[in-house]
Amino acid sequence: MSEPAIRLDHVSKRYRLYRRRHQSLKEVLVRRSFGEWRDLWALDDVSVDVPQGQIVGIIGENGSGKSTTLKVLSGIIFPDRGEARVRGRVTSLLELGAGFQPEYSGRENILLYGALLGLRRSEIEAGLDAIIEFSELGSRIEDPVKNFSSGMYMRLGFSIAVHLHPDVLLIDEALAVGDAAFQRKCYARLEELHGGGCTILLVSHDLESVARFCQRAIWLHRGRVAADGPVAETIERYLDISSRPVAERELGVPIIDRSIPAGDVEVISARILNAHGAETRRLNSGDAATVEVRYLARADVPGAAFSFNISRNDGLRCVETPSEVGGTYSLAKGEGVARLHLPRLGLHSGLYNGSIAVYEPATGRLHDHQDRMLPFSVAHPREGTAVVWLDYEWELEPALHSKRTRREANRPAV
Amino acid sequence: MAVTHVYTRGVGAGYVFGQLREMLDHRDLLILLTQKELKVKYKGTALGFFWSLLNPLLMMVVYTAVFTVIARFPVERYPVFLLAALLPWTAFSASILGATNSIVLNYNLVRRVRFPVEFIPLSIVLAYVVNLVPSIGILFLFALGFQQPLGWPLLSLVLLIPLQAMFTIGIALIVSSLTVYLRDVEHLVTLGMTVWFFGTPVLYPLSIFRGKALYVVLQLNPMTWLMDSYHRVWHENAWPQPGFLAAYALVAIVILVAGQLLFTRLSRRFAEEV
Repeated sequence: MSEPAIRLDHVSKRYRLYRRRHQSLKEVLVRRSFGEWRDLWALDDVSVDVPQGQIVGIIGENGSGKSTTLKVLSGIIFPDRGEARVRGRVTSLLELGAGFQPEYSGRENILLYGALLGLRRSEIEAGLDAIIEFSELGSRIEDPVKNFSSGMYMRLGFSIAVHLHPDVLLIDEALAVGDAAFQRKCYARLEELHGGGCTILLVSHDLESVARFCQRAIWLHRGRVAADGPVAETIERYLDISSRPVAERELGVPIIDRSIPAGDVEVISARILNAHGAETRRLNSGDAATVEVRYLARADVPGAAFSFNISRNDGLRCVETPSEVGGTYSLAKGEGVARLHLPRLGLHSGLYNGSIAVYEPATGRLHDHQDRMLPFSVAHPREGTAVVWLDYEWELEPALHSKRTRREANRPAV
Repeated sequence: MAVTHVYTRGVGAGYVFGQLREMLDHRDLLILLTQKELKVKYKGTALGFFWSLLNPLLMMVVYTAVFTVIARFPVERYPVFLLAALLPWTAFSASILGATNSIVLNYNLVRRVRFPVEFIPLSIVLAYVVNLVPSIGILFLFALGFQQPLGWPLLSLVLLIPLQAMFTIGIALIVSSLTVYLRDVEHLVTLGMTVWFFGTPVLYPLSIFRGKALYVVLQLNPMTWLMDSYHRVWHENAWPQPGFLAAYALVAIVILVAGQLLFTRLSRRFAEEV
């Protein structure tokens, strides 16, 4: 076996959290201390090996040590105990902007960032055009980056990081901003790097991305490795064991996107209710569930229809529920509630995302479309790779040499 | 063959060696940062480099007036004598003052990217050293104007300037890394540089104190050894005193090594402290 690309060997890292900090020589001399602090073990005996070419997701609540892990691997902070080893050129995208100089133009920042990573000037210049093109910044690349939006910052930072031939790429929440199209492009580029043997560590709150993209997931909890293994298992355990409100937050907050203005009807909010009428984002196969959509009609809209569409985290469209099949509705001006009843949720275990559309089938007019705004998870005791879970029944005719008839109704557990 | 980075608590010889290797790998960064420093210095000024001469020239006029007209210093061609030491001194003190809070100011980089952080103070010093070269050209013309005899001893500048750079870098590494932990080091440095300036024979020749206790005290100051050498080369057309030169070379090396070791030690918590 070759040496792993990344090895954390019993790594612990302690932070000093200062209640009072003495930062002047006078104070230090007079009080004979650097201040009052308490210790926080951000990493507590973490051991992880990552073979070359693996894509690993790191998940966990805020403050669980995810970012600290990446900082240790970047060589920015150092372990208090244990040893971290990283093989090859390490590129990290730790926080938004990755240390851009605000007064510099985008182009100058590319040169600087490349030099910071230890590249020769000629190497950076060879990649300059590809970086600028990937970032889609066009002529804005000549502007000082202080005038950039956060999305542009992220696009530039990401473009630089993925074009400098890293052996190990460390990404911390960097893909959280930016539009969906650019995110897809980023993931495609990461796949490409992965194909070239690059080892990737991805810290994310977005379980969906981790599930879609990573081969392995590590769950950090209070500085310790709580689970490490196949993505689905780690996420499952994370969602099961973490306290419920936090877990639901990690699923992703329902977000109303107003980048495209709504028509006459706009979705205000949406939630999922279980059989008892309580709001939830974690369901089981076969559960009864209700999707409740609150909307605002700015005018009377005759012939409106709703649809709640479910996609799996990898983008596969699983369910569509166009209301026009049963007829259209006349919406009176004002607020209202539309409810979709799902008597038996026919989905297999996994992470899903609900989209809501309000439209007029007769005219084809789309009033509002909230794409993937309602993430939820579905659990089933038996793991499977399929999407659909049907009611089914097996029946066996008695065999010639057996008198016993076995009849098994396999119904999803609730 | 890919390099394996190893990060642990300790700072062993291996770590220091790796650090030096990393600096070598990042040589283009040092060039880029130094260029940036030079660019910032001259940015938006039509006269560019001449602005950096303006301050020493102005000081020269003032000091010349004070010391030759009022105090009647027994020094011929005083402006040449003064500029010979004042130009390198300005490079020294401006480097140190600029380097002191340079790391704190660049927290944005220090907290996010691993790179040889030494290069931040180092680039400031180098920019002043680079700037010193054309100043010396001006000084040369200036000396000719005063009919100052000049000769072979000028060759010793080839040794004096690099030694000064080493000494300056060493001190810059020390004060810049200490400032991360103790913010008032900056004030101490500002104060210290003023005291140091007057305690070093820049404005006056060392020889005027001959026979007094101060003569011995002043000779304990390494910058005395350097400034006296500049005075001799430019003003007396004489080689530096070998004892001074050797002592300064030794101190410059010691300060540089000590500064780098201290920096390596302190830099490990920069990302947490800045």
